[in-house]
Amino acid sequence: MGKKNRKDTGFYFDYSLLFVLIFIVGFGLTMIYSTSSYTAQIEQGDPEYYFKRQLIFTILGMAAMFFIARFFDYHHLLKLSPFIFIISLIIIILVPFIGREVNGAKRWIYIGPVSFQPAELVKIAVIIFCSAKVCNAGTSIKKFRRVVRIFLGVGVIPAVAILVCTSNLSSAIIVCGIAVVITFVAYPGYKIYVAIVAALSAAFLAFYTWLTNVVNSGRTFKNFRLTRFLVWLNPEKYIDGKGYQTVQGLYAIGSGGLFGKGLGKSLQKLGFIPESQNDMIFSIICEELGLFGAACVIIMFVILLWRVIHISQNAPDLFGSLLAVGVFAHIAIQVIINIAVVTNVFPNTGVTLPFISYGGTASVFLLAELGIVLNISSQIRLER
Amino acid sequence: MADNDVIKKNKYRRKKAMLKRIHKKTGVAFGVVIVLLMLLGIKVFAINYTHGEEYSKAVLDHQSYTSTTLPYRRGQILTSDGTVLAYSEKVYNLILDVKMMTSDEKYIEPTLSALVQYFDLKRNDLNEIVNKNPNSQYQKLVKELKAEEIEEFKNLMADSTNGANIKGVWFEDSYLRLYPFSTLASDVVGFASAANGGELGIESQYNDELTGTNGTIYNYVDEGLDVSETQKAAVDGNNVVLTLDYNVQAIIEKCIKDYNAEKPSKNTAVVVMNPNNGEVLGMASYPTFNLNNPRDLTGVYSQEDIQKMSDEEYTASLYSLWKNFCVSESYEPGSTFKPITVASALESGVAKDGDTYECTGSVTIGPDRIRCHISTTRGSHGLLTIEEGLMQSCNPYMINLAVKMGTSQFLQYQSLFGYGRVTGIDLPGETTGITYKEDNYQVIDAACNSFGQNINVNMIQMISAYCSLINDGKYYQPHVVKRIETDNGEVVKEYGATLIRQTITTSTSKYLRRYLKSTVESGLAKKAGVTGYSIAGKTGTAQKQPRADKRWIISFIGHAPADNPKFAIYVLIDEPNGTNGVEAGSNDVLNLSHDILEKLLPYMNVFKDATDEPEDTSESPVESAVDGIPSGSPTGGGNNTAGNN
Repeated sequence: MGKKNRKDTGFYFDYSLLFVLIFIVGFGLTMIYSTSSYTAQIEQGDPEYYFKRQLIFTILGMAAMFFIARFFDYHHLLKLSPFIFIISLIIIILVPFIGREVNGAKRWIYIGPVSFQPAELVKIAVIIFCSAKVCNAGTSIKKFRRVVRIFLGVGVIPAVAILVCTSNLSSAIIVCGIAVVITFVAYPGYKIYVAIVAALSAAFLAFYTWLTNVVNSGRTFKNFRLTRFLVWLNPEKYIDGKGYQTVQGLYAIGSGGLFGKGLGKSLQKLGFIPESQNDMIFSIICEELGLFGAACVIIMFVILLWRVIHISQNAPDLFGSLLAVGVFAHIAIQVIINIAVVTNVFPNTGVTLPFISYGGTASVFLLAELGIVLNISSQIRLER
Repeated sequence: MADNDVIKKNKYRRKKAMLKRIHKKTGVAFGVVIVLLMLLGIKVFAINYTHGEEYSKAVLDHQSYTSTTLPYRRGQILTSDGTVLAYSEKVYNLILDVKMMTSDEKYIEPTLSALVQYFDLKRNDLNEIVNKNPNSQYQKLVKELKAEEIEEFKNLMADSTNGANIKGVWFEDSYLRLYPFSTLASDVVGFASAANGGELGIESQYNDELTGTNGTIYNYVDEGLDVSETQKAAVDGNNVVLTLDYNVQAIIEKCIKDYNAEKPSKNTAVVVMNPNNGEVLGMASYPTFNLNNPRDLTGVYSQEDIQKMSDEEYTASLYSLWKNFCVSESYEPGSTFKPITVASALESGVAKDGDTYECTGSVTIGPDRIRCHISTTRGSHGLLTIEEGLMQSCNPYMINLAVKMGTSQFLQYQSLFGYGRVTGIDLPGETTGITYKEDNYQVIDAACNSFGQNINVNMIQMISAYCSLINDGKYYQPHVVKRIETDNGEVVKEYGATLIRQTITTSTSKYLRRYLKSTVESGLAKKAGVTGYSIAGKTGTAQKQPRADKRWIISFIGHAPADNPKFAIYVLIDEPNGTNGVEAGSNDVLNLSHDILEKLLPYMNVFKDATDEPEDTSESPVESAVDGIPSGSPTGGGNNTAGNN
């Protein structure tokens, strides 16, 4: 039936999504060039070093995206999902043994000259496998126990694997977050979730109060992660150490004003914000393009997410709908955490801004995820 | 079938219900995301609103606005024919940024060994500098390196393999002042130091013109809070073109050098001037010094003497060496002053061409008896015309003229010819000389003045006044700078002929030219003559004070061609060798003048216009010194010697 309809209506594609995506990716490349050219010139001797690399990965990702959108029916993923999930887990477990250390963290695997961050693979695997699990659960998803089981099996296990094998807290949080959103959407009730949010808020409030007391009493922690919270509360106090990046990012945001200093005219990227093309790119956007530019970026992401949700809502079946929600969750969580970190709403943790921050693996997998979403959109049955 | 249908239908309904639920819940998720993103947007706004100014300042504060100075190039000093006497060459100072070099262990060894290899540096010294100044970013290791001396090192630094670890070394632009002819016109050109600019001569007098404006490369924050780099180019100094002619200068310096090599004098000075516009064509004095190494006294004193000197003596010796005799020294001119006396007498009407006077060998004024120079050899001149009086340099004749004019009139003429005040030549440290003031000017003083004693003059005063005598009375402003040009040759200022005043009438000037011509042709200055050329002039033999020391200044002032002067020349020897006694003749100065004129005349395009008379090589009478001149000095005039240096 679906095939027949497709023939009748021709190949459908969510062009709005495609356009906003291309716009964001193009903007991302511009910003990478703007932020990285200075340091690239100094460190690599080529101002376009990062830009060129990102461009190659973007082209690869785009190719993968169009291939998946056009030729790879997402329904195949239903059967493939357990394999994808297990392979991703195996790779992440292999990281401590065959991985390579970059910037003091072992998060990379090198296959010949190509480097690859397994955590990104885990994210897409979790989206697929979680959606498949929920689909297979059928009506039993109405029982919260089942939800918890899926969450633990598909969300927490890979998250723990990531945390243990690569000590990458942010990716672990994102994986859990994706699982939470997918199960939330599938589960019929709200009450439990409201309760959980309330409980978490209370716990957080208690922790926050305790933390401020600690700060006021002047004690310090030896624990690396707890120090991070202290920096978060008072970054300027730690400006010479762990607070440096945060404070410089805030300086960048604060100095942007309404319309910014103009594209390419950031001062903070001149060595003050280390690797400004990565996690802190949003602060440079604020500095160069101002509040207006920041608002535009946020609005672009809102449009993108809206299109993904729209596809999810009109997906031909549950699996497609959940896959789209998973992609939505992935992008939304990363955008929110990234901006929250840059504005110091959230403690500093390395989360990149999707499609804009520099990062090869992340770009390819994100574009592949969008390929799946576009494939779903191409199978939408137009009702009468 | 029906069951199957029902099952299928139920399944479809369930599915439909689930999709509907998902539809709703995805909407909720999207809503939550939008709310969160909005809150973050507000947070960005809040940061800007509450901390915007503070953070903007913080950002600007940690930018380093280093400005780099681009040094200007000091202007050149050239002769009128375009020979460069002084120029600035771009050189480089080798600077070591110790802090940068030691920022990484791997930079230190390659950098230091490259420095030792390419420059004249010792490893131990370098290590000491590095250890003593670990945080210094500016250590000047070598000064004033030429471009070719640093080229190889620069290539090494640019080499990405061998020079990759050479860090913290850079070259600072600078200029080195060079004088290609070292001693040529050293008194006129002067020298400049990096610290003080011009210190002597033209370098000092025209320092403002020669000095340019340093440029800068600097970063600044514009009104849009953007940091921009701006380069303000350096403005190079202007070039100063002198009136000095390279060949004239070279000729006179050569002759002075040759003379002094044979008979060293205390000072020997020559000035050549164009009487038609006041341009100084040549100005030289002995001893000279090397402009490239002005503080070196070894050319004048022996090593032993220098070591014996106290600091004060050393400084005094330097200043006396640097002193431009032609403008900064005042002295009693002697008989070369007589043409002034004659011209004043003719001009005032107390004497006229052809007037005669009987020389008896001496004149008594009050208690003083002033003798004529002839009195020691032949007794007296007898009856003389005014022309012969000048030719024979007869003292009594001159005294007679001065007495006739009277003190106040004579003084007026002295002033008219520019004595007693600076000529205003564009060289530093000109002395006014000393003349009497009217209220204490006695007849005896005027008598002595008439033959150039008891009056202190400088050489420029003498030659400027002389030029007016032979140039129909036109007194031009003496000057050594012809024009100021920009670096690319545009003329900024032109110093042409400036007529200051008319000293005498054309007819008096005509008489003077004739008298002076006769003086060389058949008078006491005969030895200065050059076969075939009409030359005019007057010798002088002055006794220095204190008279008892019997020290002399002998001089010759003259011009050529005699009737239509192209140039005037003044040659002076202060304390010539062999005159430290009774014998004080003008032989030496006449020979020197002759040598100079012989070379100068063809160069100056003076045509042979006189009958080919053989040069006077015989012991023809020359003026000898007169002893027993009253040693009065015009203290009433006050010693107005302008400060030297």
